[in-house]
Amino acid sequence: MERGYAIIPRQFSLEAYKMVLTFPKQIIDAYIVTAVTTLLGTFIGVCISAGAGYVLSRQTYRYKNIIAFLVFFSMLFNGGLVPSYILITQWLGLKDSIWALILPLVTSGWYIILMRGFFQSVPGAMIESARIDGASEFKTFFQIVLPVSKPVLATISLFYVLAYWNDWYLSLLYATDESLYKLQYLLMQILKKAEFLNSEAGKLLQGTGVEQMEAPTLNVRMAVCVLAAGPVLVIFPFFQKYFVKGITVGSVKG
Amino acid sequence: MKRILTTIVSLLLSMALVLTMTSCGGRNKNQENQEITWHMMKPSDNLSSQNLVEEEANRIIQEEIGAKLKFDFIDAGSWAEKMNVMINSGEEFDIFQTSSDSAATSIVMNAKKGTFMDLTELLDKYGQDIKAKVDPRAWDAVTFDGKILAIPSQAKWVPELGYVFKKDLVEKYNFDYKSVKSLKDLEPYFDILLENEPDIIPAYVVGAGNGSGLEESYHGKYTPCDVPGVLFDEDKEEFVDFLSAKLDEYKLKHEWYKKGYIAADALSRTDSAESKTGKYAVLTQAGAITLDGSKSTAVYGYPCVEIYVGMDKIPPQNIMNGNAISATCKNPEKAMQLLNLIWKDDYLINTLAYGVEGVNYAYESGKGTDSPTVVPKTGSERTWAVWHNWMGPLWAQWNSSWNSTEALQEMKKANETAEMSKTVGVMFDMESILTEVAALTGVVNASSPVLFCGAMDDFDKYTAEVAEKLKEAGIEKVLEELNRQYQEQK
Amino acid sequence: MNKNYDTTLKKNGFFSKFKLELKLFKKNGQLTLIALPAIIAILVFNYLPLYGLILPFKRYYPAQGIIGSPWVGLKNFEFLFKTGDIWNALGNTIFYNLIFIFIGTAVSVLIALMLYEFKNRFVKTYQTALLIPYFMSWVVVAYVFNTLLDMEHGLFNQILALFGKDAVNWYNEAKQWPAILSLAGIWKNAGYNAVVYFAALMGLDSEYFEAARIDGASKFRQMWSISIPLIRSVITIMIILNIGKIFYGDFGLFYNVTMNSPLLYSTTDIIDTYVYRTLTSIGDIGMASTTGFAQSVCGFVLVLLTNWIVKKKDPESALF
Repeated sequence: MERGYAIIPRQFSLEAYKMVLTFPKQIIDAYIVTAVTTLLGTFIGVCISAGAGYVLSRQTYRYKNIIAFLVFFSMLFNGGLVPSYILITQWLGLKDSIWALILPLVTSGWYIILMRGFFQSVPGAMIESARIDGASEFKTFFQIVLPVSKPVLATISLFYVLAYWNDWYLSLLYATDESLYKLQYLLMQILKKAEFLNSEAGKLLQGTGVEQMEAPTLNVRMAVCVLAAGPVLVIFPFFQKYFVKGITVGSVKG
Repeated sequence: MKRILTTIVSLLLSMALVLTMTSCGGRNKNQENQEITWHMMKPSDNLSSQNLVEEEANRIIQEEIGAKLKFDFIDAGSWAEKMNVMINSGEEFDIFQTSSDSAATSIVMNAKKGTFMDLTELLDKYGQDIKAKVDPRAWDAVTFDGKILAIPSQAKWVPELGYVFKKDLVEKYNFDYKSVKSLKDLEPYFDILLENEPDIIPAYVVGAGNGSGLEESYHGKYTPCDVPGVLFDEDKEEFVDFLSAKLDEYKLKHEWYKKGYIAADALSRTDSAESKTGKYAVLTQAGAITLDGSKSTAVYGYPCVEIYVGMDKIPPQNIMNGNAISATCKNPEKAMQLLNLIWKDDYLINTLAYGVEGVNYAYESGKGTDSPTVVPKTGSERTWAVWHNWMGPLWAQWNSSWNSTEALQEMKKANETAEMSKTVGVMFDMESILTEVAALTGVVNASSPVLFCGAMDDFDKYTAEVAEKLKEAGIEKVLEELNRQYQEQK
Repeated sequence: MNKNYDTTLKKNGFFSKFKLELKLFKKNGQLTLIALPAIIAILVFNYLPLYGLILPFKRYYPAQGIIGSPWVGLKNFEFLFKTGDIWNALGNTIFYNLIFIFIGTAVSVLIALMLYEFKNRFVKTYQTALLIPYFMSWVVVAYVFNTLLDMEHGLFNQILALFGKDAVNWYNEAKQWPAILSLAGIWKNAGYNAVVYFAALMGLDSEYFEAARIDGASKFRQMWSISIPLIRSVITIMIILNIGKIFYGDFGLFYNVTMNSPLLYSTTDIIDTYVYRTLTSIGDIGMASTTGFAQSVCGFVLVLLTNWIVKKKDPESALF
């Protein structure tokens, strides 16, 4: 292997991709797990955060400050790795369940507060008039507020998709069954292995073994990244449709 | 604000209620089918024959002890993190690999925490075959407060140092590499290279893994416990700080760095593949020393010759790589019976190492249990391989291109003839110096790559700074405590 | 309206207080129900594990559990302050975060404004391109930067050579790194953050701009006097939240992009890398949890303070 890099590749080769794709079943499983967790997680996540964000944006809501504080506090403080692990594996019994890859990411104070910010810009008159018409809070939320909030929902959905797609740590912690590995974890393993072999522990391990662990080459590591990021970049334009639609919010009001 | 507080308090209280209710419902898994899990670092990328191999192994295991083995492989990069959280959360699991390299599964760091099961009685009851095969001197290294905490694996324990030379260059300049005894002897050769080979970096000394590459032989000084920054001096029988012990070597490295024997950007060359670039003239051994150069040629990917520079007494941490049973194991008897069976039954251990005949390997000569020679599948056909010493009885592995019986016997002999370090059998208690050990680790990790590569601007100033930092971190207290414990236990 | 209820509350006894509270609870019931799923999820996944906050004050023995392990006071925190390196790390952490908060936010807002203003057919391509860096793991970004900074073959040194300058040993020279790391950090996250501001802009009523256009205001003027003030509250919230994380650094950025070169620590060492380096050989959960605890507490105090100031000046934008 040459050291150093050229801006224009000296040679074009698909060898690295072939290496990464040697175990097609595993890759397909990983894509499925990633897709399922991303879709389910995003759907549930957007639904519940939109609810909380909307309620927090209502100036007249009595428990607004308490809940906002609760949400905010959860963003700064966490009990740490071990208590969370005990919660998921021992109390909820979710080890090796797909829910362990979904639920821990399903709420984020950050998204709720962002949602609240956006909902605040929904004209108060709209909600007021619905109230005067005798609509229930549910009806106001689902039939009046949500339909005009597509850009917000699209943005937060995008963030959820990114968060679920990029996550590999939940697989590391909660999946022992390889068919539950997410794509990013599969690929992260390759990067982490290279890193491990470069570390002191890796160096020592090399010394004790009779044979050596094979280190993934730089090309393989790069191929891994393309495979991991690619699909989402394809999905992205789908969300863009809603970004543009958002411009019509004003006309709904009129 | 007051209302916020009362609400939060009441919420927390109700949560505590939920918490106590849920925590009562414990699960009892694997009780009926007596499944024993074995957590091990993933030895090879593709292990798709796992089910097949486990099935074949369990045929024997089921019959002999009425239990089932299930491997749980964790890839090397995730190992430390995952084991750390598993052990610390008190999760139920059975057998796991210990290693002195990772704090999570290190015997020294776990000794006081009660996370490893005491194996002493279990070994007496069910572990006769293990006891017969493990080097009796090794038990001292894994015994803490009279409790045996792990079963040492058979492996090359003797620390050896070799230098590797790029073959075309030693031939071109007719360098008498066989007469090299120390780093200093390499200098004339380096001068020739600097003058004539502008594309070659004379010395392989890089920043990877806190400094890798050429170093002086150990001279009886090495780290015998999990404390970075201290070395044990075998002659004086005391602990010393690494900086003063290695000052001469570091000074030489700095001179090399200034002269250009070492790459100017050595510190940022942190990729383990760096040694395979073919840009270096002299390197260190690639895992093991083979005087014909076959090992380094195979690993580095270009023709090499090797010499043997020195070996040392066996330090305890080289013995501490083995297998332990978790304190949370629900079925320790079966787990120990299983381990004993693995040490007892040669066919079983080789099935676990090589896989299933016909699928993962073929016989070349011999058959069954009478020490055959096997040809394992390689490349993309290789779907199972645990050639490592991780399961325990390495000497029992059949002859193959991975582990030749000859090489294994040589290792065994080297172990048997080598002397053990005086610190084997001294188990250090870190409890009173944890703070200092942490601070020391920080200082050592920050300074040792720089010292190893000699890559500082001003040697005296830099080493004085490091010495000062070591002092602040509490090296004196650590040395005093370790020396006291050594004197007490030796 | 709430105020009236509160004053009535004070006048009456406990029972009627309770009754009133119940009535108010019912009145807010539907809204509470809408927020309930999120509240439950937060309570379970964020608040249940919070008992772990006592870990920094315990010598943790797994067999005895978190509650049962012995208390050790502040002993676990001692390692942080042993050598004094923490102060350098702390200074760096705050320095880089201030850069990310101010310059990073400015860049993101600017990108969002540009995407919003120049609606041509390439805009989608730009948006996608902006998100690419966010997808790259820091490990990979580190390779990319290495191609620029490599001493022999790096692009920077090749350019320097064109001008007859000596090669710079980038990974040994600490003074260059504040610029490099700021650039890397902003480059990677700007696109992601811009999406937030872009969405906020999209939510704006186009009537505002209509009026401005009729008045003949220039594009730049429109941005400055209409767009930015209108998304002010989103910007403020983002800044407050980032202030809460001011004692946290992005480990991946500072560890990988610098190749963890020790000679750079004076300008690149942050709290997270310092602690990582220090606890590698111990792996003690109690000690490991101290830093996060301290980072959170300090961030929490800062956020309360900022929020208090914001509330005085601009109550609409305050967090709570």
